[in-house]
Amino acid sequence: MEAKIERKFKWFWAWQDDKEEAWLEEMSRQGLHLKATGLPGIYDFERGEPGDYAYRLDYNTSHKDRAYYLQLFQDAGWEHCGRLGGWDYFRKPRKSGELMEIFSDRESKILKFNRLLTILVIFFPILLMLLTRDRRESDIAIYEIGRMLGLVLMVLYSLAMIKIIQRIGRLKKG
Amino acid sequence: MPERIDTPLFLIQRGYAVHECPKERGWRMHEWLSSQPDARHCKEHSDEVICSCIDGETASSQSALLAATGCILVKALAVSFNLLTGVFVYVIISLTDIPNNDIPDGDITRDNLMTDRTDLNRYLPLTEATYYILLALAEPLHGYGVMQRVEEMSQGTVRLGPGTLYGAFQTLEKEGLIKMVREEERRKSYQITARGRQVLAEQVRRLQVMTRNGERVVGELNGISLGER
Repeated sequence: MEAKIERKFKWFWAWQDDKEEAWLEEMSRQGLHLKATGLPGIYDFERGEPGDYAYRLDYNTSHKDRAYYLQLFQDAGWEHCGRLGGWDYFRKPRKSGELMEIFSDRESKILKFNRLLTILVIFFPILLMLLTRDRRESDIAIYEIGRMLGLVLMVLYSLAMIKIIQRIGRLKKG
Repeated sequence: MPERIDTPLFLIQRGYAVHECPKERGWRMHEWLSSQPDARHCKEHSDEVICSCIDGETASSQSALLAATGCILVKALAVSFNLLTGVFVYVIISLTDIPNNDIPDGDITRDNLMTDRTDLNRYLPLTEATYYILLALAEPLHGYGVMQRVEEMSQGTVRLGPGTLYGAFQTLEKEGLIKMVREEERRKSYQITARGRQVLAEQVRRLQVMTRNGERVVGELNGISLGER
């Protein structure tokens, strides 16, 4: 039987990973199980029996030893169901008496957001410099559009950094 | 003083005048450029290079080799500045966690342990998860083996998520407290190093001091409350 793929569009910001997890869990309860992630905001689901799953997102930029990383999660009962940017999507059927978290302590949860923050911090000055360096194009409209996009990107970047720092602060407080 | 050329060749853009290069009047380009305090905006436009200045002076020419060289240098500087910032951030980050793999994995005498105590303190206190991971790695185990062993040892009070364990393995290996001993079928087995044993021993010593003090004080407090009754 051919599995039916349903595509859904929903946007989550980088600091809303808990909201995204909750939404994916809700989808699974409706019988839509995440099959693949493509571009940001696009999710492909497989229609099946409704199920009670926990979805968890990890963030990693290092690609070395991926097979080992995925094997470790698989051994612990987590199925890898997508990758987007540096984000890895994992799913595990909810069972009582089983650990339903991929991060079992506060320290490692904080480390995940530190990894995310590091990437933002590294790219921020580069973005800043691209934006501040004058470029006079013959086509002024294109130049202005580029500048606007850069500005929007920078606002989002700053917002993401603030949100993630706040998140780390909340985690540290407990 | 060379005279100023005021014939606009291309366009007026955003208040900056773009003039033709005054080379044909016998000026030497680098002198002309260097006389401009703000000759710093460069743009490559197919095979020509335009240099514009904040004060409205601009040189542009297909043949202005010197100007081109100057512009390329400025551009290269700007690019390398971008790169440098990236490198700088990277260096800062890598300096904050210096790998510590050069510790020989041999037998450590009691004396060494005493002299190293202050050095060991920077690893301490271990988190509950790290403490149990080090205990479990007394013998070689792969990730899932560690999860099971820790749950069993702690009587179910400490359970490790795979993300936590993966991160802990990476950190502990970098610090030289554990080492990889085997890799088969995408599973890596780790074991504690001599350094790791030192850290663990110091942690246990600290915990003993803590429990002794705790028992004494709690005992006294209970004694007082009994006496008051």
